Amino acid sequence: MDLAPDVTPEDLEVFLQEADEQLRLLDEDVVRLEREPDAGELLQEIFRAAHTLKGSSGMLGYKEMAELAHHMEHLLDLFRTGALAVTTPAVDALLHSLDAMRVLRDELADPTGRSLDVSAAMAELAQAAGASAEGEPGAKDAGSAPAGAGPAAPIVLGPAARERIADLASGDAQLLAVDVHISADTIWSSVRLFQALQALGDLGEVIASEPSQSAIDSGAPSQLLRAIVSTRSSEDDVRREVGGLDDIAGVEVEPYVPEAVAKDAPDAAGAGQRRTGAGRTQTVRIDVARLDELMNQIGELVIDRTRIVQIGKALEQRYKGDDMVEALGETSAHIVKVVDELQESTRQVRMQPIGTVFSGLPRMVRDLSHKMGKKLDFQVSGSETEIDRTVIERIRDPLIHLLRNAVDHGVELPEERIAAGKPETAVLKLRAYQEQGHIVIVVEDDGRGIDTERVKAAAVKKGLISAEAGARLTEAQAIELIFLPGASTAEKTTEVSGRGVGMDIVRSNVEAINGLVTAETVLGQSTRMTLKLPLTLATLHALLVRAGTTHYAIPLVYVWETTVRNADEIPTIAGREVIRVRDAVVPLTSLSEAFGLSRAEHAAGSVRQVVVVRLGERLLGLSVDAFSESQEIVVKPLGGFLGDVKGIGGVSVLGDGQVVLIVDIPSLVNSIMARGPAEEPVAVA
Amino acid sequence: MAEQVVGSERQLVVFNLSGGAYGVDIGTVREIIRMQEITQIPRTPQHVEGVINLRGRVIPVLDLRKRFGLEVTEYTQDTRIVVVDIGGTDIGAIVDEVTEVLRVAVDSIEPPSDVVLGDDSDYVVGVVKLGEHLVILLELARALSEDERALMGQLEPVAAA
Repeated sequence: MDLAPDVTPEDLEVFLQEADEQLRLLDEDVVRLEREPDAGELLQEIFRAAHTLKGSSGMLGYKEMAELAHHMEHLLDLFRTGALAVTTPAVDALLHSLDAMRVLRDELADPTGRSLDVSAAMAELAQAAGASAEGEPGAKDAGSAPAGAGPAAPIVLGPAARERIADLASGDAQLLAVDVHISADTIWSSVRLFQALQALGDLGEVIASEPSQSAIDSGAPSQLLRAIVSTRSSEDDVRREVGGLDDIAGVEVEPYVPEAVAKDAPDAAGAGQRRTGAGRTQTVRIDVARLDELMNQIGELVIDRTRIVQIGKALEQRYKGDDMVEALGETSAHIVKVVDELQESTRQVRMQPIGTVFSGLPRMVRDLSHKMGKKLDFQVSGSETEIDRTVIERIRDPLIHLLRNAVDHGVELPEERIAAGKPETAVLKLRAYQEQGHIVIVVEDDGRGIDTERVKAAAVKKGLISAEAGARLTEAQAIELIFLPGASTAEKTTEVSGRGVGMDIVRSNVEAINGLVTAETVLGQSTRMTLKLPLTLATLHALLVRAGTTHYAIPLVYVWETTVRNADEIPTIAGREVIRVRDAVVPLTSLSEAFGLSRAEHAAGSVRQVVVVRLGERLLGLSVDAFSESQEIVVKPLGGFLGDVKGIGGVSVLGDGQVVLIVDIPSLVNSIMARGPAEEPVAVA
Repeated sequence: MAEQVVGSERQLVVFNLSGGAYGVDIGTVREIIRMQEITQIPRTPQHVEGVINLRGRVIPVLDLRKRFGLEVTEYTQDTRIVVVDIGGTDIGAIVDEVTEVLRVAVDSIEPPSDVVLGDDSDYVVGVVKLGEHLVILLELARALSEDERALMGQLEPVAAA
């Protein structure tokens, strides 16, 4: 590919990031468009994104992409004017073009010399545009841009910009009117305009500009850029920063005096502009590793904060009434407040709406259901639910697995559904919500459900459980079998288990972040998979216990019950201690023993404190010497030197300096109950 | 490994272990702290005593007597934890006593070949003669990291309940 002669690596980086965002947005919106063909605003947004792509790729001189975007734009314009209805083939054509664009984008990021042939995608678009396209979609150009590129006259303020100016003018922010004159002999005035606008964006917030951001993006040449900027930099700084760019003939800066702001309702018209222009200049992309580092440092600060308070109290005892000690008390109280706020803010920074994982899923579900000839209504809710980004990274794969399974195995073909007296179109729901310090994600379909009898039979046949054990299983326990590693090899062709493809991987991924996955089903009616995930991996709600001299933290998500028993009232079944809790018979082991530490002596008449943990349908009683309250702890890794210690997920330091070991319940339970759930004498009820 | 070289001198932190004097380069020593409460970590080698809270950071602590197969005794008032930097990770080493910081001329350090040592002694990097005394110069990074990792791999699986 040949790019424009003076594209800098920075320009390219900006373009790549933007293209990535636009393509993701388009993917999502086009899938939505198929379901809501009449949503004018949605169409407008799609059009705008395609237009931006066309403009920015054109500016780079990336012909293939610009042309493809142009063809897309043409088809979209036909939708917009109502000349053409939104049909599945047309949506397919758009989606395929987006795929091609993504390949083009990646080629730009990692040039291999080979170039994708976009003619097939363009032909598909042209075909979708059909006869109604009067000849080549060539002549029409940026004139249709919603942002409206006029001559470089006074700056036209949209309602959103006017509102923003009114906002800023009433505050103490400094508004500047900046005129940037591009030297007449530059070849690439559009690039210079772009750079100038970027530079202004770096200095503050660009409220409005002429030409507008989108006009510049589309490559319209101009010798003058006028902008209104809110900035903390001085006029001289602005002059110097922008004037320092290449090919700038002159920069005029003066305070901007807002005209009497017209009161015409700044309503919904401006809302759509959220995603463009100025807003972007106020965000910063940051490496997650840096955030982790920051969180870790704050974790240490939190511990020191507690220490300072303790020292302060001790000093108060010793030197009652001393001025300096009192001052110390005030200062440390302030430090406590600031550190707590700092911790909360950092936590907030790491939070992201879960929608960032959900994006792309509608497209995947759509493609898969079309391929399999299934009719499906995919409903997503709770996208705005916030979750730590480290968690987000880890749940994408499990979610894809679950959705694929639902489409592939859960949902029936339309004929089957009609025969079963169900609506032809199946409903697949993906929901996220927050509940008691956890994020819950539910994947639910109204398909054929899971036949637990067949799951059992398959597990017996594969030797995962014995026939007797299989017969003893309850419904809930039988469903658990789909999470066993062996069950995942269930031949898809026989569809014995209905599901089970990679379910063990789903479970291990979820448990790796201290989460839980459970399955519920009603045969012939529905299947529901529920993921319960921590809000963050940096901290953990845990029950603190002591066993021997060691303090442990047991993640609360696995704690099913805590109970106290008399040592001599604990029966033994097959040489193994058990307790009965809520109608279930639960095997009992001491936490110290489970870790191979000293065997605790239990004098007759003594009491045993037991934490019953639950992993799926498996219950295990862990006896400890004491439990205290549950609290939020900061998770620290054990460190490379000690490596992975089985059963220990990390360490934490409490406010009083006490080191606690975080118990990795899945690993502990799995190692103790290695034979799988079916062999355990659980729930005799 | 960072080495503190002052002219042709090196500075060594000298500590006592079961009657013998050992030295480590001062550049590797982060700090020397008193004995404190150690949290035992299950399923780790015997000479890994556990972890301590060093001002909010959790670092592993090893008993050098156990590591070198010396007789194990009770800790005393003089017992210290020498915190050393091993490849960017801080690790505490329990020693009987820290005696001094010694400046020695680089050419007074002799290669270890003269001394009779065990077969896994590549962590002994030199010997300094001080009158009648010998200070054995250790490179703790070698003593603690490499074979430590090897040991980790051989840990027994979880004891069944």
